Parts: sequence; C-alpha cells; structure tokens
Amino acid sequence: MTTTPHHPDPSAATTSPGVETVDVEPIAVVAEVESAPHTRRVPPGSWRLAPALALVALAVVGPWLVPHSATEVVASPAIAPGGDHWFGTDSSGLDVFSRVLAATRNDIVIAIAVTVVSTVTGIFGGLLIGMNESRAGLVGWAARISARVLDLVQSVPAVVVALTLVAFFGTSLWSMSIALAAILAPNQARLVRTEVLQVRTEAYLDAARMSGQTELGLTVRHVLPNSSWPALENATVVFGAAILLTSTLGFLGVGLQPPTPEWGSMISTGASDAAVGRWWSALFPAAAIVVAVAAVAMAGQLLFGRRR
Amino acid sequence: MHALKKIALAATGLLAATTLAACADSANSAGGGDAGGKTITMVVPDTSWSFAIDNGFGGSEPTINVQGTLLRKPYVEASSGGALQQNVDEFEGYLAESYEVSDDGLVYTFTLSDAVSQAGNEITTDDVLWSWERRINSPRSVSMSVQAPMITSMDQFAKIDDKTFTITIERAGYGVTMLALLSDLTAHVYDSTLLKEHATDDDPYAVEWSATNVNHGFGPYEVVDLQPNAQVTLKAREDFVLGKPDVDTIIMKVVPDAGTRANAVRSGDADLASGLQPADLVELAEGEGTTVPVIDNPNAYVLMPLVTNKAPFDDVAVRQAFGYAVPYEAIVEDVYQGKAVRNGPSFLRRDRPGYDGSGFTDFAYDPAKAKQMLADAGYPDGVEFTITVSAAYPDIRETAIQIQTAAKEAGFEIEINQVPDAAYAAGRVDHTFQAFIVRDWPITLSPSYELLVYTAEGGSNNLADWEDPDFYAALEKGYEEADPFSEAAGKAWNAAERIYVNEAPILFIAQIQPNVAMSDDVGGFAWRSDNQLDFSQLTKS
Repeated sequence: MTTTPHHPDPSAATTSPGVETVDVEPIAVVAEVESAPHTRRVPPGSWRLAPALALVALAVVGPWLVPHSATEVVASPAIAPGGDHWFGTDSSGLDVFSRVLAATRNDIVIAIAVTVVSTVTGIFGGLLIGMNESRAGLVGWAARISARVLDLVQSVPAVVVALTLVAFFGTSLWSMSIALAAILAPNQARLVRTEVLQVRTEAYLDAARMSGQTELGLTVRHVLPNSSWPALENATVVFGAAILLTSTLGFLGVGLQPPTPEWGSMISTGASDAAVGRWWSALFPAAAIVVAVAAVAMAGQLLFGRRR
Repeated sequence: MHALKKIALAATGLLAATTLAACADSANSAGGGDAGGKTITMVVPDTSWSFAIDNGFGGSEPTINVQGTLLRKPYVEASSGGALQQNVDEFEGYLAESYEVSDDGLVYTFTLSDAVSQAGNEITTDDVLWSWERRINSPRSVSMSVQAPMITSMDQFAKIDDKTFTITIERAGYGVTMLALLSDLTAHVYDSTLLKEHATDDDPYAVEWSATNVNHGFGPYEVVDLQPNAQVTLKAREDFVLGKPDVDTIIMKVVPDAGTRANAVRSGDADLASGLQPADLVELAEGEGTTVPVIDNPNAYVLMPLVTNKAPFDDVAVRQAFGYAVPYEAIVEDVYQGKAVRNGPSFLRRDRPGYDGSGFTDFAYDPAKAKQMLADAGYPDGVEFTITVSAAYPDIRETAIQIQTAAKEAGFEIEINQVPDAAYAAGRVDHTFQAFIVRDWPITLSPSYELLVYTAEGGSNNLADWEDPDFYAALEKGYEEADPFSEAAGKAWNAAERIYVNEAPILFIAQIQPNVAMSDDVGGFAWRSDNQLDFSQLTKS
C-alpha cells in the first residue's frame, strides 16, 4: 500500500507520484478536446455516470410515468406480458411494469439515505476511534473497546441484524433506512479507522503539530480528508448492498407493507408464481435490481474508484 | 475480486436464480423413497405438527391418522369428481363399537370395540376416562376450550365395565354437538397403559413425553420415521380396528413454497400436494395427470373480523357500511379463481329444516351505498383503518389488496399491515387489530357450535371481541330444542345468525374449496370437517 496521502480530488490522485493510472482516455474524446480548445474537457469515462443518472431520474419521475396505478388492482391476476400490461400482472392483478417503475423511487430513496447516513456516521466514528485508540485513560479505553465492537459486528450476518432491527423499528421507509444504515455503518467506520491508524503516523502531521495546530484542527484539516477516502470509495458498495438488503427483507416478507412497490417484495410475492412458470412478476423486479446495482457500481467506480 | 464486481455478480446470480426457478420442474424434486407396497408421497406446507394436542395446538394431519376417536362421521361421495366427504350430521362407531341414548336424551352409553393401540394394548374404558382426565388437567391443552358447555368435567363420565361407560350431558340439545366433538381431533383416545409408564411427577399425564413419542393412539397408521417439521413417514397398521388401509406407506414432506409443491405434483415427484394457491389449483385441475378434488359444501371460509373494541368498528353503522365496500365477487373470481363461492352473508348450511336465511342483510359490493351509509353515520369524509394479514398466506394478502382497492371508492382508506404469522396469531387472540382477514373453519359442524366458535363470551377465539346479549339469548332458544335439526331449532338458529350477520362483527367473504391436488392414480380424497386428510381412505392404482 502506498504511503502517499490520498486526496479527495480524483484528478489529483491520478497525478500523485508513485500511483499509476489505469484509465485510458478514449481517442475520440481526446481528439475532440484537442480540436476544440474552448470546449470544457469531458472527464474520461463519464458515460459511466449515465445509467446511474438515468436511475435517479427514474426515481424522481417514475411514479408519474406509470401507465397504471402501482398500488391498486388494475386487471385480472397473472396476465402474461404484452398488450396493456407490458410486464404482465401479478397474482393480485397489480401491473408489474408500473410497480417496477414506481419501486425505483422507494429502493433508491432507501439506498441513498442508507449510504449517506452510514457513510457520514462511519467516517466520524472511524475518525474518533482511530484518533483516540492510542490514548491513555477512559477515552482510549472506550476507543479500543469500540474498535473491537466494530470487528465483532462484522461477524453477525447482516440479514439477521436487519430482521431484528426491522422487528423493533417497524417497516416504514425511514425505519428501514435507519435499520440498514445501522448495519452498514460499522464497516464504513472500520475502513476509516484503519486508514486513520496509518495517516496519523505521517510526518506531515508532526509538521502541522509543530506549526501550532490544535489536535482538532489537525484532525479536521488533515486526517479527515486523507482517511475518509476508503469510506467514500466504498459508498457505492453500500448503496448496492442497501438495495440488496432491502430486497432481501422484502423477499423474507418483512419489507415494506403491501402493496407498496419495492423490488424485493415483488420478487417475494412472485417467487411462487415463478416456480410454476408465471415468471414475469419476479423476473422484472429482479432484473431491475441487477440494472440498478450495476449502474451504481459503474458510477461509483468512476467517482471514487482508486487509480492504480 | 473488486467488491463492486462482487455485488454485480451477486445481483446477476439473483436474476439467474429467478430465471431458473421459472424453468424448474423436477429440479424442485420432492423425491420420496419407496418403503415397499403402495406408497404415497405428499408435499405439505410447514404447519408445525403437533402430536400431542394437550401440549399445544399445531398441524394435525399426521396426528389424526395416528390417533383415533370414539366415533366418526361417515363418508359419502361428493356430487361430482369422486371425492369423499363427511356426512356431518351422522355419527358411526370407530373406537366405540356403538352408542345408545337415553329417552330423555341426557345419557349416552358407549360400548368400546376391540381396537388395539400401536403399542399392542386393547382399548378399555380406562383409556377413555384417562384421556379425558388428561385433557381436562393439561394447562396447555386447547381441547377443553371447545368442549364447553357439552363436556366440562369428569363428573359427567361413569365407568360401567372395561368396555362400557356413559357420558351425561346437562341438556338434550347438547347431544349432537357432543357427538360431533367426539368424532373430531380434540377428543382422541390415548393408550393410557403406555402413557402411564412414562408419567412422572412433573408430567403426570406424559404430555411432554407423548409430544415426541407419537405412537400412543389407536389410529390407522403408525409413525416409523419423524424429522420434526421436515418429514414424517407413516406405515399402515395391519391390526387397525377398521381394517388395514389401502396405502402401506405415507411420506409427508414439508416444502414451504406453494409453487414448488404444485410443481412437485405436476411433475410426478409427489403424489399429492396440499396448501396450494388458487391459480395453481386451476391449472392442475385443467392439466393432464392431476386431479383437484371438489366437495359439495366446504366449511372453510375467508372471513374478516371487524374488531369492535376500538374505532372505527365499535360503531355498528361503520361495520354495516363496510359490508357494502367489500368486492366479494372479485375476490371469488380473481383471488380464488372460482375455487370459492359467495354463500350469501352467512355461513350456516341452508338445507336444514326451519333455517332459510330470512332477515339477513345481503351484503354485496355497492360503494355508493356504503359511502352514503358512512355519511349518514357521521363520516362524510370517509374512514381510515388498517387490515392486518399474516405473511404466511398469499391468498389472504391478495384478498386484502382487492379490498383496499375497491373500498377506496366507498370512502374507506385502508392500510395493509402484513406481519409474521406468530405476531398475527398473538394479535388475533389479544384483539389488538382494527380488522384482519383469516382463512378458518369450525372443526365441528353443528349449528350451535358454529354460531359460538367465533363469538363465545370472553373467549380468546371471539375474533371481533363482539358480545351481544340478544345474540346469546337467541342461541339459548336453539339449545332448548332437543333435536338441533328440528324445524323449531332451525328457526332459532336463523334468529341467532340474523343478529350475527346484521350486526356485522365478522364479514364472511367466501366459502373456499380444499387446496389439494393429486396425481390421477391417487384416489380416496376424503374431506373432513377439520380439513385434515384421512389417509386411511386413500387409494393408489
């Protein structure tokens, strides 16, 4: 692992000494930039943002685009895809296409909320623990205990924790978001804590101390930007994991209340149908999960991916 | 591998798994060994089998085939399809060879057969009396909650000799219900000789011992292999009192997913599947090589208690208005796909003397009328409430969605609260829900029992927490008749049910058919009023 301080600006990171880049600028883009010197330069691989942006756009406007109500019975049950119902209807007579589209908002809102909450709390938690672990006294003792707790939490299956938290907090959009954030935040904190342990030994911190900076100022100005990078990079993984966990809870029958459109719940209710050949009510939401996770993963790699 | 790629791969795997499930047939094999002779393999939902009902209630299908009762209801052929069904108004000997009734209708004298238990002990009067002692004295037993007021104490029993005893009841009008109860799963006779050997100071009736040592009865089968809530294998008994059953071995396998169960019987991996979804039943009925039994007058209902101990259903006008906001026919057609019927607003059989359903409010879907009734009752802006459903029953969830959609037009804003089955069961007993939907049936089919099963004063099974003095008074008039099927009794039952229906504490939405499918080479489906399958009637060609 390099000892070069990380920098939150990806373009700066690519030029850091000792760090090699793997991104190759498309020739066409380079040519375009060279021939149009007054045009703003398009960052390489920007197209990878497009699916995620489309997904967010869909989450915003999707519920207004649906051809049928996503929560009301609109036709006979188990109509195969085609005609008025492009993705067919499920066993309740709900339109699968409308529900897949409308579910985007619920799943994305949960995923964004979980990602933001778990990353922010993870960063600050990891920072606090990492900076205080070597201290003497009660603070140091608490930090060391917290570090072990973070390790311990990793050994408990996330689904079991999620089931317990959802049973406790209920199954509203926000309670599920909080429950999932509570599950995913420890890993973020663990990543940051590991980075803090390394960063705090850097010579430039000693230099900053000698220049008279307080410990708090030093932490905020130097340690935070250089150690939060792993959590930011991991944020897209958290985003994908939140979607998959939400879907898992839905599949286990403890997700959002029916008939709230949510991909996992749709797979859950469609699983039995799929087993007897009525594949459409489970397949389309499953495909939506794949597309959403892949889109976010691509965007994440572009935004936060470590250049090597 | 990069973590992002792992997630993408996992998600792709999810998609692939769903696709494979859609294409699966024998991949979901229920399998089944052949233990020699005729074997039937069944795939069943997980109903938490209970082999000792005195130790707590649970799925009873294996139990009723291991245990026996004094009497049974004779089977007759259903009018179409070849299925057998109980004649619920008559009773014939089973472990009791015969019974006689005194002239005043109060004393029933039973003579026992020479039935032998799985342990080889011949039945005696002591077995019967000890079995009743056990259920009366077992705190976890659910049996006695349904026996009252017919049988409430051991004082009603008298031993005459080893093979003869009497039961005395307080009123002649209790007689038919008592006989029906003696034919059902809450009145099994145990092998007391065997169980006494395993009684301890802490477990004086060997209740806990019998929960896991299941061969302690006089029924047609014995358990030869038991993997709790996973698989049980039963072997037909050569020395069964009514003759050895046709099928030598029954293998019951728990397969949680209804679609997989349907697939198993379709592909021939299983001979019989139960707990199927309506859409699958329709396909299997139309498909080749499989049969879906149909009976004439099933007792299973989809019903919706409107809990009266809290708003909004503490107001009878709201309950009655909601009676017009339920899309009964849409539920029958779309959820149950024709495997159910709307039997009017009530549930008692209408083919009995004196009973004609007169005076019943005929609730049918009429949102305009419901809205007007709500406005007249002081709710011009409509009413909001929550329907609770169990996550274990997809058809019930689908029924709730149908109601949610249709009732909106009538001014009812409904939220659906889907909860795990355990939470659902607790809320049902504690009356904490505003409304809920349940698929249920009265095990014993006598008018007085059916009218009281969901409405008993102070009873945990009083689903809507509804207690109406006029209703109980009307019921008393029925009890006064010695023959519950007389013209006068029929009128009394009609009067009681009229109050029940019109006050609308429970909406009886649809009467549903058994959810069983069998391969064509299996015959002898026999419907019982407890909706458990009698294996001793099954045949295999």
